[in-house]
Amino acid sequence: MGSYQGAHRTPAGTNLTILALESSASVVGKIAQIIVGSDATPADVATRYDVLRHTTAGAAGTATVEKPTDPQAAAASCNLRGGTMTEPTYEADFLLEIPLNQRATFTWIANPGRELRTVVGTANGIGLRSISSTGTPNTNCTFAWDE
Amino acid sequence: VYEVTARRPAGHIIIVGDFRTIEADTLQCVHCGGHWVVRPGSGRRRGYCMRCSGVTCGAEPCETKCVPEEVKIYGGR
Repeated sequence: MGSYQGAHRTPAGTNLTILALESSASVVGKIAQIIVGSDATPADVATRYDVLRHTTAGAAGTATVEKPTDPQAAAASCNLRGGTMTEPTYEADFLLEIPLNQRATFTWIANPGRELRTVVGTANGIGLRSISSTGTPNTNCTFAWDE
Repeated sequence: VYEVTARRPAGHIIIVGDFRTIEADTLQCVHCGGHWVVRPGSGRRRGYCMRCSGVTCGAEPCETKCVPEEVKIYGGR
């Protein structure tokens, strides 16, 4: 089992994915930490982010480096995709809802064994998506996951 | 400020804002795997699965049928 991190930044908006972790054919990604913030000039912008499972992977987007916590560890099996992208097909129910002011930084940490897990298969994964926003601030997101 | 705690939390949130830092616990649904922030008196109805021995999130699919998260993640493997 290895631990990995990856980060990406892209503007928030309506139904825009910031960062998505996609399973491999046989490996499940277990997200243990999510950090969401903004490096834009401070302003009062209200954004709702949802963490959702997807059943069809996104396309295009930005290739994002998956960094192992241990430099000696093998490369990650899961794929990390940054927005803006052709949106994945998401499930209706969210795994975690994050209503956030742009001035604030949000961190979520799972207890061991209680991570958010992707469904096995390359089409499946978990994404952080801005559902609605009163602006388009740059959003920075970091995922830390085990696999 | 640690707003709300749970006896057996599944996770934690930390929100750092302009004026204060808010911390709270999250619980995890045994069916969908989703987390939510514990807010007593929120009016949201959650559940408990006697078969899985764990709390459920209150979403209709999770309350009406017992499909453990393990089954959803790995299917028939």
